[in-house]
Amino acid sequence: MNTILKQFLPAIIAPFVGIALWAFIVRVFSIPSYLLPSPQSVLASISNSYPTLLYDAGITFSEALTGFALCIVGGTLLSISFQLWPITRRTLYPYLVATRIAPIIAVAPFLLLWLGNGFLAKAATAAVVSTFFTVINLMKGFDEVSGGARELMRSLSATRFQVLLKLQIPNAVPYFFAGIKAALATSIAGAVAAEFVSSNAGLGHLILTNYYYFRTAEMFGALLVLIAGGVLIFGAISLTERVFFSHYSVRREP
Amino acid sequence: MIRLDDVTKVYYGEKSATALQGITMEIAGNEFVSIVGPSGCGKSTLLKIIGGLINPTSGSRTVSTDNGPSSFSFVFQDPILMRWRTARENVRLPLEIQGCSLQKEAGIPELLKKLGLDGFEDSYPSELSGGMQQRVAIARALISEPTTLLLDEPFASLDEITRERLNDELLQLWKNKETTVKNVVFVTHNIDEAVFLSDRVIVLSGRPGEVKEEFTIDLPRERTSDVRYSEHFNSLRRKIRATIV
Ligand SMILES: Nc1ncnc2c1ncn2[C@@H]1O[C@H](COP(=O)(O)OP(=O)(O)O)[C@@H](O)[C@H]1O
Ligand SMILES: [Mg+2]
Repeated sequence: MNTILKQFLPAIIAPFVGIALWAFIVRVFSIPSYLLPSPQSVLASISNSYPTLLYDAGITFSEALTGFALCIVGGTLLSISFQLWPITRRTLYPYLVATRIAPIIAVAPFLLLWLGNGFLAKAATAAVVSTFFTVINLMKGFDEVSGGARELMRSLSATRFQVLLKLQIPNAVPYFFAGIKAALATSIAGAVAAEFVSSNAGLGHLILTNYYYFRTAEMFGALLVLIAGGVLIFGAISLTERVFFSHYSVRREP
Repeated sequence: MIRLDDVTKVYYGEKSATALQGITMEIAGNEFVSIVGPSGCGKSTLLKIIGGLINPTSGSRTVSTDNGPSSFSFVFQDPILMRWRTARENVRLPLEIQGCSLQKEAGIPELLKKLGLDGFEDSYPSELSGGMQQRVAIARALISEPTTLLLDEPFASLDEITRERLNDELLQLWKNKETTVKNVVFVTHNIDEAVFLSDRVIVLSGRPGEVKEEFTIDLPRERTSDVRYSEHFNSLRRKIRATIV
């Protein structure tokens, strides 16, 4: 308990110090609230509008998480096909890189154009921009199998598919988690970017409309909810890895 | 019986290397053969050819099936255990790959016990010492009930005491006919180990690897650790050492 407290204490204390500093600066320099609202007014705006905030958060996170789920399933299938049929790797890999090189905000308008203004286009943007991370990490995990392990599998007359199933996939588990953590962040960015381009609900929509009216406290409120939700999901992923997949961790390499 | 006839192996690449040249040898049933030689002389290559893991560039390998079909199991220098599998699950791997045989699977606990792993069945490799890990690797090689066991410097990275203990145990296992193994081919650069374990020691000379000399180890088959201190053991050791420059 003590060590856990020690590990997380700085991270817990830091925001309070930050908020205090923030309140202090706003007051001492009398900064106008449309530039930097006081923490009290941000808190007030969150508590005043939390039903809508919750509603918009629900929309944004369901877009992001749908895209995230799609990128996990699609990315995993893609990487497995890259392993089993190298021709698919040679054909598709450059385009996969292109999806990540193209700026998210520039990809979104096309998907909105093709898939309509609603939920689908936002989830698709989230999926397209984050698949890359799942795939490159999985590919690394599949490839970083020791020569000795490959030789062992060969001495057991394992088929290509068995090597993948018994050796490469389990070996890639920690890489998979690293990949989807990065993918989660871009999924959220993708959903919000698509909302910026065109939407009538969601946290991205909220930030943008409040921006037009200089309602900075409300913008902050929406941003904080966005961050809190993302961090919560990130934590859930880390916890899942630690609890259920600790033996796959490379730290345990004998 | 396994026979190699005039076997040559060339590794082609930017700098092609002849790893083995003109190797002719025979491994009879019920024989424990060691292959010794300096590192890089082609011991591992020879073992892989004996086991059919790689093909010779020229020459032939014949495996006689007079006494039923042969099967080969390897033990490498590194235990190569899968970190996500427990000892028991690592041992089960060959059965999963070669198609499950319930009868063989039922033998896992006994085999682990025989190798001194009782109590460690559900331990992960990271929780086992180097010696224990190598025991798991040997169990994994034995579970598929091979007729020939091929070991490539299996104890090279263990400390002296652990190595001697594992030597003793391997010899017991082999001598007591507790396993299906008829032939053992054991690669090492440790001459003591080779003399202690073997019926016959084959010395390879380096680059390219050729059979330099063969020694029949006429120590009594009932060997205990004490044999290591006998006069005869030492003279054999000295003779073999003298052939390796
Ligand atoms: N896969 C390979 N490709 C190219 N050269 C190899 C390969 N394996 C071994 N060699 C070369 O063949 C020679 C014999 O190697 P090896 O059989 O591993 O020797 P040892 O086991 O006695 O140390 C060495 O010179 C080594 O560099
Ligand atoms: Mg070697």
